[in-house]
Amino acid sequence: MDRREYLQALDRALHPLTPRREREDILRYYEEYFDEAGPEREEDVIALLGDPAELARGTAQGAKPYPLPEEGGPDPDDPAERGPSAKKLARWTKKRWRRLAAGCMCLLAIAALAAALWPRGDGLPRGFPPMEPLIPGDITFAVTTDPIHLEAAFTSIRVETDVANVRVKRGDTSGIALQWLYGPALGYNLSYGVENGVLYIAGGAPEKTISVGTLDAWVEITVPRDTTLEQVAINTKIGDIEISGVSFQTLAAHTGNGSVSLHASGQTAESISLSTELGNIYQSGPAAWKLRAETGTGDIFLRPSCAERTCSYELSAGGNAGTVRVNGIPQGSRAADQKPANRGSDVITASTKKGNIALEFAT
Amino acid sequence: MAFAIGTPMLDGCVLAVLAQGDTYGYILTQQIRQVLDLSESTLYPVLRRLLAEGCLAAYDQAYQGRNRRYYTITDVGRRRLEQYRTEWKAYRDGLDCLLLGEEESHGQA
Repeated sequence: MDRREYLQALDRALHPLTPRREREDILRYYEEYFDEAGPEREEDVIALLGDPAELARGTAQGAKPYPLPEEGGPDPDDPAERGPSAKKLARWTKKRWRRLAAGCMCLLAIAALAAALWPRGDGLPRGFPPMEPLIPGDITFAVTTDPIHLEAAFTSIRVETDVANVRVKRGDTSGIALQWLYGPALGYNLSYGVENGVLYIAGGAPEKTISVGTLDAWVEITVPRDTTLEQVAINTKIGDIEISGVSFQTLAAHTGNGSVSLHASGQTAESISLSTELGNIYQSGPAAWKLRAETGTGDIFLRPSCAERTCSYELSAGGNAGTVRVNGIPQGSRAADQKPANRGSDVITASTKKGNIALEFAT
Repeated sequence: MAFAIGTPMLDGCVLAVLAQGDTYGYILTQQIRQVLDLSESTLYPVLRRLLAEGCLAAYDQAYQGRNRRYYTITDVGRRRLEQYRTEWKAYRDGLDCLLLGEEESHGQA
């Protein structure tokens, strides 16, 4: 294979992966590579660039963490192949036991720091330190009453309250717990019912009583394991929303004043909409074909378990004031990446009028 | 190389090389490959992304009857590089602490 044949093979391999302009740009880039190396090194360059299909995939797939070298590269176990970093590593290995305790203490310190910086996280952040939430100390739940066991089965949930912190969690049996302080004195009441497979929870109060701090209410809904809910719709004017360990087809969670936290489980949902006017939004776990997160004032943390290569996103933070981070890397106040729709890709949109956005992909 | 190299590291390296002066893809690759074991397909996506983000600009210059594409760092890129340098120092110190240990501050095992 000569240079011309190689570039033709590369062109063919790129064809299904990239649009025409991109393909031309990539080919131009590697043509220049041949030019710079000179005709006498044509064979070397072909060997160096490797399989055209492999090169096309690597080039077209965009910003991926760099994979480890495959066979044919330097053997890390061969002392002759070791670079300076390998020598350091070998020295470290010899002394590792002596240093283990010190290392452990460091690890604890770093873990504590990371936990403080990323309060809802379920693991150490990758790359750079994550940002601190704009609105601290959010999402508190204090349900102390015993849950009411629900006899009637439900497959959807609808919560409509003026004031309530709402939590949906996974448990052994279905049940709800409702609790409100100062409610009776203020004429506030929470009620519930199951109708046509839909669990309704409603809470209302005279308009004048609706203000933060005068009334606290909690709604806790327990969904049995192995249940996939059809629709979950939660709307509260004041209060935090927390959903964890539950799987569903569609979710719409909105609060006027409070934070929204979703740690989903199960399969990818059809659509997820998380919104608040004042508060942070946290999401982790399986995302959705459509995931939307929107806050007026607050930060958005998204850790979908979808792969970056199949996931389109459009993120916008605070006009020009906020910062968008993707996998820890600051991107300015906006970031967008549109993947071809025919791959069945997930689409993530997130926006905050005042705050920052962090998006971290699992892979 | 025992350690995976992430996107920020590559971005930082490209920006750092270009902060020394404009250069073209081939030289850029050679310079970074002196330090990092990269595959040939790695650099193009990095350059493309940095261009899209306004961290770099590209211009063509005639050379021996063809065009060479030069890359230059922008002000946005310089600010990004500064950010990377700051974050890298913190990250490196943390890793040093873990990987190499700090006996003098934590005592013997």
